Amino acid sequence: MDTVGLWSLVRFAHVAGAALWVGGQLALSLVILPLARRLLGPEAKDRFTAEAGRRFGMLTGALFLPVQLGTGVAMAWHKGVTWASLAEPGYGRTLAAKLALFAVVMAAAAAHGIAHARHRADLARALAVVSLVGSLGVVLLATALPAT
Amino acid sequence: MTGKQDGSAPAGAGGPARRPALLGTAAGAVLTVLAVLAANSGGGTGDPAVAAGTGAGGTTVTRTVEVTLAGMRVRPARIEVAEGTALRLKVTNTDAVRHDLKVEDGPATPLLTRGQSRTLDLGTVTGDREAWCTLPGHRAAGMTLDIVVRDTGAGSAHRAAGDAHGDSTDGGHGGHSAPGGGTGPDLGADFSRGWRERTADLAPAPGGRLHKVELRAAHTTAEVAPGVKQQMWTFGGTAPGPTLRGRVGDVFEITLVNDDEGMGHGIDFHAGSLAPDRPMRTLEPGERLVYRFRAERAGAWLYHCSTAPMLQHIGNGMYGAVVIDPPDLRKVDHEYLLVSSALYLGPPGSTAQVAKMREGTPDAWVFNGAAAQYAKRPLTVKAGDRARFWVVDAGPSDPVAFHIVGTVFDTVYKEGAYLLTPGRPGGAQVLDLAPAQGGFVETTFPEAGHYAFVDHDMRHAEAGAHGTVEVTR
Repeated sequence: MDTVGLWSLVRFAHVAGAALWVGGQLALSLVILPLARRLLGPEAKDRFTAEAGRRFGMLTGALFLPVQLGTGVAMAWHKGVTWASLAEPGYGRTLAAKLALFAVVMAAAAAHGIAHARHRADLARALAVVSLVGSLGVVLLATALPAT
Repeated sequence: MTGKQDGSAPAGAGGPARRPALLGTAAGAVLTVLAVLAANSGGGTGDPAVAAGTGAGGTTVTRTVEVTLAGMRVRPARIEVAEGTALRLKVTNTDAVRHDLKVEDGPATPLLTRGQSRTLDLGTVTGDREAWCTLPGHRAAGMTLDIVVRDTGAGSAHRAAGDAHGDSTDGGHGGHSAPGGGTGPDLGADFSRGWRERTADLAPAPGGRLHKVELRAAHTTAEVAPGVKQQMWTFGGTAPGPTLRGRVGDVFEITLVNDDEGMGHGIDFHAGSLAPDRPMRTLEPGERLVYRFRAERAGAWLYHCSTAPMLQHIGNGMYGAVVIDPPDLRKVDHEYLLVSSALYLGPPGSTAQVAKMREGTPDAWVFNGAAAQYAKRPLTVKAGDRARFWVVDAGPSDPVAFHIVGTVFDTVYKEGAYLLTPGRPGGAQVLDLAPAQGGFVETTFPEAGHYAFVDHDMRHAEAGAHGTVEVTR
């Protein structure tokens, strides 16, 4: 039995996707955007941040979300998770909480984009941070689950 | 572009509080904490075994069962719960190798190393479920757990099927306590408290050239595998029967008494040559005879019941060994005798049990009458000691390939002849015996450690034909 088998690769895609997405958020929030605000002129800064946010959002929707959802559903099916089992204490509820928090994270990210478009910069910033912290919470719950 | 502000603009622009990053962090942390609380809800850690219902399901009973993984078995192998019980399994691996436990349509533990534990929440149990170790071959080897919904009415179809498949227990006599899940008796379990192993030590030949022995034939219930009691047919109350020993030329005078109430028995000593007609005749209950023979030749000889059907009489325990020392037998530090045989569980003489004998599908293979007994009660020697192992294969049908892990035999004696002596350059790893054959091997244990001995037919070894020699400094 290969240790690097099919399911290990599925898990890899899921974990790597999460790591890269959260890493990308952190890179944006801690590195790219602060430097852009500091070093660019107001017009260039606004365009840059808007484009950066749009591009990140596009990659999230086109690449990250399908991979996470696809691999996540596949692993849940493989483990025999059913809708009913999501209510059961332990594994079920942990997974359900993780999914709920993930949905909140995605909603916050989307709302961040909308807030930015409406020039509600502070709200946009808050929502971005909610999304980032929330996604760390998703990772926390993910690591609480036994491996698939 | 007007009206734009960057994120650090003072309030008054109508956005949320001053420091959006702080607010966002706080909100994110609160959401995470709520999610973690939700994840952990529904049963705290360290619940007592039975708790009154908590949370939503007001009258749900929670039951926590401790489950152990070891030796290709899940213990307990069967859990009965009332329908609607919320079941939690506290799974611990006590084996040296890794195992896990996966519940059908439910949660699974990760691979657990020795000593690791994990608790599985199955939620409310509404139907029978199975759980097993997912490592390749482990489930097939018997590492399964049946979770069965106990119902108040007549037995469910599942349970009926389960009972019919296992061996039924007879009222008073015969039969055996049904073993747990998996195939065959659970060899990882322990024998009952107070159980004593049949000593493997072989006493030296008693003095004198005439040996008088009384052997009584009867039924005896014995613990033949951990926790498994079986009715055996015995000489002298044990299976194997008492061991006789002497030297070439000794005379043996055996008084055979049939104490059995329902059936006839006889006896056949391979060690002596005589006309079978009278000495090996079948005695009715209460009768007795004197069987007199002279052991003209050295060897490890079988004796067994001579009453038909011999497959059953031998298969149910009526066998034993007669050891006639070859001259100039070398002195050793330890001498052991192992009689190898197959074990058939179930009411003796029942159709199902006899079918197993005919088809050659015993429930276990054993040395000296009990499965894995010397794994539970190892033989003990010192490093550098020389030991002689006499082996007799009582059958009734299977050969034995006797091997001691980690040792080399420098002496092999089989069926009256030395095949190998220490002076020769070669060594042996196995003493192979067909049914009824006997011999011995000698070896020196080189250093401290644990040396398993087996019937090297792995089906036999894994099904009880194994033991341990513990070598200390």
